[in-house]
Amino acid sequence: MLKAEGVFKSFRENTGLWGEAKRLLGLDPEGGVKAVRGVTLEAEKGETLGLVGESGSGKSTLGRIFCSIHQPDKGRVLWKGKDISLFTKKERFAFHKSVQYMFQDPAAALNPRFTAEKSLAEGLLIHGLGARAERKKRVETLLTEVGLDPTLSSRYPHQFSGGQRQRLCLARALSLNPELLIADEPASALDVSVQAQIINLLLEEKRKRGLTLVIISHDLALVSYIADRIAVMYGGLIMEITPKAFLGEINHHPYVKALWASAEYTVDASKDLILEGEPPDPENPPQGCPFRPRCPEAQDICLNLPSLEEDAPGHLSACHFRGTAP
Amino acid sequence: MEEKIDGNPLLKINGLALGFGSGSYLPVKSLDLELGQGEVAGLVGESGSGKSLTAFALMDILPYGATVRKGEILFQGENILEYSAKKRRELCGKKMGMIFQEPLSALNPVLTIGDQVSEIFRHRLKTGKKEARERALELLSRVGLPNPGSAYESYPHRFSGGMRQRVVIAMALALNPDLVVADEPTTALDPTIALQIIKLLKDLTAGKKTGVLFITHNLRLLEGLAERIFVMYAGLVLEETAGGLKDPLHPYTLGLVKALPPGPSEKTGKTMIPIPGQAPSPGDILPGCPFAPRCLDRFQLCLEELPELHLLSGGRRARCHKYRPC
Ligand SMILES: Nc1ncnc2c1ncn2[C@@H]1O[C@H](COP(=O)(O)OP(=O)(O)OP(=O)(O)O)[C@@H](O)[C@H]1O
Ligand SMILES: Nc1ncnc2c1ncn2[C@@H]1O[C@H](COP(=O)(O)OP(=O)(O)OP(=O)(O)O)[C@@H](O)[C@H]1O
Ligand SMILES: [Mg+2]
Ligand SMILES: [Mg+2]
Repeated sequence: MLKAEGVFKSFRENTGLWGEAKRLLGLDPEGGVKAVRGVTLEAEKGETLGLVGESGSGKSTLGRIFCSIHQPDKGRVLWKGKDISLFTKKERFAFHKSVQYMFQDPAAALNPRFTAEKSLAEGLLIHGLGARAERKKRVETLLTEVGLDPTLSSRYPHQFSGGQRQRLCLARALSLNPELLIADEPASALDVSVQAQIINLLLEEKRKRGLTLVIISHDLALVSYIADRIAVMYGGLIMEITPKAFLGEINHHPYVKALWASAEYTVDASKDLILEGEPPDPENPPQGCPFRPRCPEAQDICLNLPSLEEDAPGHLSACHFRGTAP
Repeated sequence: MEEKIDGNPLLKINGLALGFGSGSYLPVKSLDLELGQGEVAGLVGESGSGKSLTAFALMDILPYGATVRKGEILFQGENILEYSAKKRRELCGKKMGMIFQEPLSALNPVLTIGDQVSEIFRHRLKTGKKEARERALELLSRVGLPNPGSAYESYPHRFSGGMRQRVVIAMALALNPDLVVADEPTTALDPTIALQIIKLLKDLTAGKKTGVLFITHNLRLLEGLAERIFVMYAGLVLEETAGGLKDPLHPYTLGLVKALPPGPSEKTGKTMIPIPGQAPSPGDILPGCPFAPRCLDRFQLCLEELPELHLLSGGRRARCHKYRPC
């Protein structure tokens, strides 16, 4: 339904004089922070796609490319088979109604001078949905659905707690009944009871309207609970795509193995479960596989970038050894 | 169980109340908390229940307009709320360290890491430039930064989330404090890095008998890390556990545990069940237990009278009428 095809994205701001000089001298033609380095990924109609991975691996950047907040430097994004950069004005308008992105940082997403009601009604107004009274009613329904008291609708963002603001963002993303929602860390600031409430709301939207969901999170328990397929990113690339049925059943990519081992958070577990070392520097990614410097199974061949290939039906991994190093 | 100094625990907070302005709204109503020397204790609970404000009160960095209304904070047996401003600053700098949720906000973007870390020694211990540099380098290598020399010269924006968090830990531990308050130190990190950080915190504090108060929404992570967990709701501690979260007493804690998703590689079919109803709005003043309107075990008394924090077997406590002595 929504597909990114070979997308790349670098950020060139703040690279300083030296970075600029290197770029001009041709030492570093791409330059800057290489956030996404060639990703192909599709969210299929009606599915829940989980996107997990290291902090700084490019998950949010990819999410924003998906919904056209960022333009990719290379590659393209297809919505129902059509390149979104070739959209007419009318098609673009419809796209922005059908595909919603819920920001990771609520502070960046909510206008501090808008009341909750105004923030939630904004989209309805832009898309000419409903008269004033209907919009008010819709806002009340939305607030109730995300577990907020509708009498709070005249409050400004700073008068809400962090968790409440996160729910406001979700309510706003759902206000236009999108076909596809990209939710970036929708529950990280919430206690587990409110988390459960939000997850149930999303499951309900899927059941009722066939919402397609892309969920970005560090919480692997949450992602494996809700997602049908899980894509794992590392250093701007996808390391593995696993259908839920294969979780724990298949030989995983070494990074994915380490990630899942850590996800139990058993601090006293045997030492080798704790992955040593630092994630790659996005300005100077290592040669070849981005996980190579930390990989316990790395060999010389890993100096060549492995491609993401199918090794079981629906299961893809980017490892020369397909997770079964000698 | 915990070690005491002159018969006193490291930290004891009695009936702490915090308010904004002069109104009757108290985000922290009555907080009782105890931490032994060398102990790691958890502080969890409802989003907006006052966990961060409590940490700020400890460190004497309450936001503008917030004041301590009631109660005492005993640190090594002395009520530090009675200290002069100068003595308090001295104490917070030397004997207490804080790790903030968002490491970037704790670091100055225009100063190098080295300047910021060595500044602590120069300012607090009045060491010379050269000694400060040596001690800073030693500290940076102790928190496991792979190349302390180059880290010393770097600016914070170049670092990944995990590396920044290591620097913030280094700064919090620089002067070998007796108490470290860690406010959601791992929320923004992927599990592999989160585990490294926890292990680091454990290793660095274990030998020194440093007490750690660990604030988090991640209940899974607390297992194996903290024996004693304080559970907050609506500005009150509702439960103090003794063996992690294995056998909770309070209906609110039980509700939280039920809301947890199954473990990432568990295939039990467990569902996430939220606690029915909503948390009270900040301004609501209820005569009884703040959790009573949502509690399945409530009886008439719960709606009329706030229960005490009853001391139960094994040193556990619960603020619930179910456990009142007959
Ligand atoms: N607007 C920007 N300008 C410059 N650099 C950026 C920008 N946005 C992201 N980056 C950089 O791009 C890289 C990928 O960032 P991104 O936010 O996509 O990571 P992420 O996987 O979402 O991480 P997290 O789990 O911490 O949210 C990081 O190194 C980040 O510092
Ligand atoms: N500057 C402020 N002005 C008014 N109210 C505030 C302010 N800062 C915090 N509050 C309120 O105080 C209460 C406690 O806030 P606090 O940040 O301590 O919550 P918390 O337990 O840390 O929550 P979270 O888990 O979301 O971090 C919240 O209800 C919040 O709305
Ligand atoms: Mg992100
Ligand atoms: Mg907080």
